[in-house]
Amino acid sequence: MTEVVSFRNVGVRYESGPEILRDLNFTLHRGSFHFLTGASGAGKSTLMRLLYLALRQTRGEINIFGRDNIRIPRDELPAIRRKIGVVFQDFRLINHLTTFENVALPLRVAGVEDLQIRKNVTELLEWVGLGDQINAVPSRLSGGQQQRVAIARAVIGRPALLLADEPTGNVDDRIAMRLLYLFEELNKLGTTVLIATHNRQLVRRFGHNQWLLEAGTLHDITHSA
Amino acid sequence: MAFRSQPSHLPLDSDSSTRFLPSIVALMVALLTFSIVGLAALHDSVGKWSGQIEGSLSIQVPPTGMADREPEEREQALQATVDDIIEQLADMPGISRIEELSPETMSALLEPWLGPDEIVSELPIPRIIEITPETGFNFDMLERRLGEIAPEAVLDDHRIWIERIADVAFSVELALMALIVVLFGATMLSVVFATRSGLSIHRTIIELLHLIGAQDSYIAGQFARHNLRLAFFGALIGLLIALPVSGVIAWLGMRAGWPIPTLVFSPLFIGIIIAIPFVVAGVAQMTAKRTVLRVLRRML
Ligand SMILES: Nc1ncnc2c1ncn2[C@@H]1O[C@H](COP(=O)(O)OP(=O)(O)OP(=O)(O)O)[C@@H](O)[C@H]1O
Ligand SMILES: [Mg+2]
Repeated sequence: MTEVVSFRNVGVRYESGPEILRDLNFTLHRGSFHFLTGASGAGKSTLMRLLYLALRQTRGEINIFGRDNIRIPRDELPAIRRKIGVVFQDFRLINHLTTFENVALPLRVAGVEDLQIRKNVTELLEWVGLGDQINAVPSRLSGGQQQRVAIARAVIGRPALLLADEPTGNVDDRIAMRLLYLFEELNKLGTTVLIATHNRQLVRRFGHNQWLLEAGTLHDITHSA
Repeated sequence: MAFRSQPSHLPLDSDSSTRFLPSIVALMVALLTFSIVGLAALHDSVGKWSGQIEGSLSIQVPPTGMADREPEEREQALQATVDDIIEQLADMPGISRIEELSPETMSALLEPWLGPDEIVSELPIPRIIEITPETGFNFDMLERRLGEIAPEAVLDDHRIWIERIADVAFSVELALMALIVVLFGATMLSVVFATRSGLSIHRTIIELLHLIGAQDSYIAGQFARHNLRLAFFGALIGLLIALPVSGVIAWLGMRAGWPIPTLVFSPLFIGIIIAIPFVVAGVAQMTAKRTVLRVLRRML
């Protein structure tokens, strides 16, 4: 199996604060599916930030898509970021864009044709149950609906790596299941998936690999849970 | 993508910076336009006045205290004074020519008021001596010498008055030019600051676009376009306010007998006025581009 991401002795601190993550050693293989759990403040979002290249480690080595993350030239970053879909914990939808335009953004940025965008976005929005909210702006949507827009935006470009930070925090179990099925569909098509969540019940129900962040380090608890 | 060079994907129009930038640009452009129109008008007038200065200077010799004399006798006495003045002033430095205004010219000048005929010689009319000054001319000295020769003669100081006004006007013109430079600088600066503050509102969007894989040039391009439109719109509003107001002022001036400055119709002036919105919009566009690129460089 090909390595999508590998961490070696990675440590992170924010400015001069304490080390939030330390001695991280793990590999994400192509087509794998992992849940990342851990108490609030354990560093799940921080680990995600490292993975979507918004933060650099203070020590250790991170290899992503075969590249050493700190050696990637600035102008090559966009191409790599387009292979990564991110569901941010705080959604980060653009307030004055409609549902459609928010979801279409990654495709627009990548220069995809209008016709193609229209077709793909409409289809996906139907799938996540937002077919009737296509022209609504985020402030008119419920928390759960906003979360689904954020998820749709993360998956619209069929990323090779999908990072979802607490993607089911605001939806009921039925929709949470539906969204996880969507992630599984993508995973079957080859996308590597990493989902940070508090929802242990959901994790147990899907039975994928489970990592636990505790005291700054990562523990594989897939079989001990 | 093929049929539209770079479509706008971010309708950035619906936020507060959209109101801030155009209004500040409109205000600055209006002030700038007023100053330019004012400068054009003043420059024109100064030019006209300076043209008048080129002309000659005159001395009036009035028939003071000769009202009860015979016309013959009066004219002889006047003529003697005139000859005396011309003789004594002729060798003064700074005077290239000095001569009496001929009776023909006098009667031609007075005809509209007094009618034709030889009536001029019958009336106690002052004689006029014309002086053409050259470099080295000294008004004060001339005035003093004239006082010694013929105290009743009056030196027409019209020219001096115009010269002083023209001096003041020229200083005002220089000050206006400086003001225009300052206003232009202030316009550019306010565009820069309005753009910066607008971008800080959009910082999260910039960050997001960056994280979903947009090229720096793409992000900068989107904001540059947005700014270009806002600033152009603002500058047009500014012009639309300034031009009619200038027109009204010109009309009021015309009713008060001021001439419309011809410079206003010169291609240079019209060109400058038309260029304002484009220059301002161009600066706004460049500022947005540079500011966004700088913000982006600080991001990973
Ligand atoms: N930008 C930052 N600057 C300084 N410290 C930060 C920053 N972001 C996070 N931290 C700190 O890092 C630690 C881990 O935060 P992080 O957001 O990664 O936790 P988390 O596991 O995602 O928590 P939650 O489950 O509540 O989302 C926290 O103690 C937090 O205070
Ligand atoms: Mg978090």
